[in-house]
Amino acid sequence: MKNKEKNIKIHGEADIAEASFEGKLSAETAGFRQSEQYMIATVISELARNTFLYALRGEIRIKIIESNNKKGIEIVAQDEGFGIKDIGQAMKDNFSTSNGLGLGLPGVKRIMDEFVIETKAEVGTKITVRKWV
Amino acid sequence: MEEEIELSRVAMHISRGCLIVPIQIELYDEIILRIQKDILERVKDTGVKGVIIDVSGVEIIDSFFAQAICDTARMTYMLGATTVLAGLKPEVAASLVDLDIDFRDIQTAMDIEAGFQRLEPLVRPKEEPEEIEEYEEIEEPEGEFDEDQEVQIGEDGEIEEEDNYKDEE
Repeated sequence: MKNKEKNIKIHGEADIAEASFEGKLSAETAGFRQSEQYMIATVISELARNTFLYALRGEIRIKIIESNNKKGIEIVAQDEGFGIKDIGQAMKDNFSTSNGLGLGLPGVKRIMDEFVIETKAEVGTKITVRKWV
Repeated sequence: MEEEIELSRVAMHISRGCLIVPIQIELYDEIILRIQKDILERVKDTGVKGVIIDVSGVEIIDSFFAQAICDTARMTYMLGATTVLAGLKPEVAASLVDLDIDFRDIQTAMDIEAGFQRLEPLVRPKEEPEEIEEYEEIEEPEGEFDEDQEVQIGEDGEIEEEDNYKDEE
């Protein structure tokens, strides 16, 4: 059982790929099916990208969790940016391929089982997501 | 020369009148944007009418990557080439739907072969309408431009044009 938490600092674009790759490995270790592993990796990529685009720096923490004999994965994306001004807006399905980049958060929420977002103006944003095998 | 080296990283090639772009790497934004630039340059230089982006080797497509692909397709369209995205993996398709990303703007195909089939009518248009166009072009300039062989043929009028017609049939 590897419950070691992975902590990836997001400072540049290459870190997004690294976080995503580490997430896939953790998802594999936790016992997710291959298709789910890639979906989790995509989620991490979205979260890390938001961190990079909107806060420039932050970190992604990935760990394997266990509860009631169920295994899962927890991903925390935390940044020290300006916070999300309007969470309602950010959670709206407004991503369109012709309208630039969305935050991708509604999609992240759909893929994962649990989704918690905490944001404070001028302090930063913390998004915690979990998915169970 | 430098550009050639960069191109070779993605190993684009032209086959059956289409620019084939196999993408195996994932998620490095810089590379994605460079591929975009390379595709556009290649389309401009070669005048291909079809581009097939093969993503069968890609397992993670996030919103940035998807956006870049859509942008590329739109840009190549402006240059006169149609892009087909080929080989999306089922799990990638599932993630894209969950992320509410779609590729409405561009055509998709199961694999490269299906991509060729989609692009075939564009890459190799039926010959008849083209001949009519050439016929009209030949009549007007009357050998003023020596560079163009077909225009030179036009000097002798109808007979030469008929020959031309037969050749192409």
